[in-house]
Amino acid sequence: MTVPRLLPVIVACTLPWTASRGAGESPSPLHAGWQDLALVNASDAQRVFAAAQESNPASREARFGAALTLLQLRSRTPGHVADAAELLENLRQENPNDDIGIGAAYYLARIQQLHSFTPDRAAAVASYRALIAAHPGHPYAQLAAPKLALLLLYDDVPSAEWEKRVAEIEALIPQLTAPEAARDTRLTLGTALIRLRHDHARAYPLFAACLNADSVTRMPRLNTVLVQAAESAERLGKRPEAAGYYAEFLRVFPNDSKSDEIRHRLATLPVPKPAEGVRP
Amino acid sequence: MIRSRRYRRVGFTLLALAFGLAAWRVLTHTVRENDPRHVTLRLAHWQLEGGIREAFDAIAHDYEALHPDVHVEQIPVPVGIYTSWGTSQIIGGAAPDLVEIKGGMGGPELWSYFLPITEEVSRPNPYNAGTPLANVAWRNTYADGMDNAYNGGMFETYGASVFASTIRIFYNVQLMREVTGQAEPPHSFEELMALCQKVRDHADRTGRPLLPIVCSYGTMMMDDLFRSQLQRLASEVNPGVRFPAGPTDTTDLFLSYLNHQWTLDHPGFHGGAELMRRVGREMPPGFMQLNREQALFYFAQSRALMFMAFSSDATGIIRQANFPVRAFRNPTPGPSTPEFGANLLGPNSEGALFTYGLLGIPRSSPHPAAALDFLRFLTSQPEDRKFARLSGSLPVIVGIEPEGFAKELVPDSHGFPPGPTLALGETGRVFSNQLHLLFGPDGSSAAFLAALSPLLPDCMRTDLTNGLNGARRSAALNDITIEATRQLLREGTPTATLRRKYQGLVETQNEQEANAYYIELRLAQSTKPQMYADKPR
Repeated sequence: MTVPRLLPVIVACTLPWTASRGAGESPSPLHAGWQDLALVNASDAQRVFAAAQESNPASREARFGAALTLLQLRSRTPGHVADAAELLENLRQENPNDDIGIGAAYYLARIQQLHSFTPDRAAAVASYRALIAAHPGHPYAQLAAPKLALLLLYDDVPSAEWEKRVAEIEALIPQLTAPEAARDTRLTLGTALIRLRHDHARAYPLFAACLNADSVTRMPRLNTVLVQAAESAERLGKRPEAAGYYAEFLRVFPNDSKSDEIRHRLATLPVPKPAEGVRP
Repeated sequence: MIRSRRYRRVGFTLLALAFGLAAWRVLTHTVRENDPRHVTLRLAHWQLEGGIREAFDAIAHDYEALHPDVHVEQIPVPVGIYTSWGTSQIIGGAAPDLVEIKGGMGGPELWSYFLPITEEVSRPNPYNAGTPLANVAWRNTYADGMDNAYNGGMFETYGASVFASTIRIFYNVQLMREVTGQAEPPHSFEELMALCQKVRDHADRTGRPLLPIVCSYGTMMMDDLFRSQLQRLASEVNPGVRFPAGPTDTTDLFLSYLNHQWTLDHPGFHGGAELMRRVGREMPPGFMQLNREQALFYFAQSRALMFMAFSSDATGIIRQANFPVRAFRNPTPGPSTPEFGANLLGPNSEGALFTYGLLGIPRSSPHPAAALDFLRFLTSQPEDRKFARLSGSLPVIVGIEPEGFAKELVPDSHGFPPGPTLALGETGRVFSNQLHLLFGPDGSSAAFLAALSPLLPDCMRTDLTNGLNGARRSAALNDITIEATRQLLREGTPTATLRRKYQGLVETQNEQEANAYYIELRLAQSTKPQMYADKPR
């Protein structure tokens, strides 16, 4: 049977599913627009959101989508960014407390930090702090936490000020309920502690928490974090933990270019050896 | 007069025949193209090495036998024009159904022109039915878990690869016997150098024009030697872990140089240059300009004992040589080698098999479903076994033992990861522009490094700034992808793949942004005499 001949069969098989989607939880009319944006297809998304606004000018979601589409355009200009900021500001002012209003506040901060052609770091820090304070626990406030952490940490400030910032981020971590926000805030802080202060004692528990929660999803990142955790544990004299992370590395990456050296390190660690794959 | 008229008649008849034939070809082609019952799948690639096109043809033939209404055509394009050709095809919306994705093609938004197949690679490949991989997710049937097809920035998988390669030194067994009295290859760098000397002595003694070694692609082949000497330095300047950051990640090497943690007098950098010079001395004059065909010509004519090349060249080499050929790994100095050993932490590990030559499905493909189906067929275990056998390349699918000569090409993961390559970006350009001072008749590593020294800071800064800007562009693009994925998750029943994608996108973006701010901070520190933050060890 050939592929074109299979097509009617495939269509026939997918029809009941499509029908059930239609009968049950019908996707929002803006679904196609979000799908386009998820695949970096801003030009098609722009048409979907424009049509939605035409049929329902009051739709906050359509206006939100239209604003974000402007930020994904291939030929993005300062004018597009300013238009997006204006649309988002209007949405925020109309209702600062619904999902769209809070989302608009988050993306206004992202414009200040990243999308603007003249980023304003201090303004972005202030916006993230305000968002986290006003809506603690809201998904957008959780997304803002690692952004605030990296803006505060990768800044050349006196040691005392840097420590104050570390304390602010450490205080934020227990409030983070979204796994990705907790993971990334911990990893941002842990990596900065290693890169900028070589502080393994404070970095290690942050890496260990992410690995124990199984929250590192990217394999290249997992590769680094496992070695980082093992090396920090080794420096801190936590040999069984170090051996556990090395063994886990070998289980996940048996043929990596680092694996041979890690096998050697594991063999020379003066502790009872865990079997490859035994988690610490 | 009569004869001339007759000639004219013959000429016109031939012209009419040629026109008729051409018209018939165009007509049948057009009819076939527009026949809804037939699908013509086109596959564009730039792998012109011996055996690859034949292997593609054989797999296409198998597929057509299984799907009589599908015709598969390959479009081999020379590597020199492939990037510009491919870019114009994908941006113009006229790309073939499958396109081998090459670096630099399509610009920073390359992935927006291709269809992600993330969901599909999480399911078994139906063409693996009846094999031990029948129930294994397509992604996990790959030796490298489809790492090459996965885009970390987008958290999506785009296409599938069919190629894998290592760098090997091929040698003429007959000539080796003639020169050394035995057929075994050298096992250490010292033995390799001694062998080169023996070849020169043999050439002098016999008057025969014979070179120890040739290579194509200039210094790309010697990169391995240079990187071996950066093992210790790249590990020491990496603030994260006691390993070099990655084969192409020069961030900490450059940042530490700009922050005065090391200079070009460092024994590792000096050792790398010196090793390249010593091997370069064994090559023919002007070897930097040799292309694959020219280098192969030297080897096939028995005018060079050894040929340093990619393993994917193996079939072409064996076909053109009328003598037995064997291969060995480019040996690097050992840790006990005086002058070089202290810079090493072990032999260079080649790590796991790395696949390349990703075949992606452009959004503009007229037959995306058929293209996906053919891709599954091509990368099924039985067909990959056939592809590897016919092309002489390494299999990319697990459970296939390399056959015959391919056994000598398998990557060796023993040892320590090498330092990053300096062959890329602006630094690579400047590095390469000074190589005449290393390989020229009066060349020396000291002259090369002295010329490089004043040029390096600016190009390192350029490369770091380009990396920083790239990370920011990618993070900005991802911002909206993340929001869109979040909105899709809110609607209906979210799939595990979509949830994973969201988690991964957020993770990628935060990592990219942290790296960008780190580079910005350390670049700023490098231009100021005293900054607050501690400097890495």
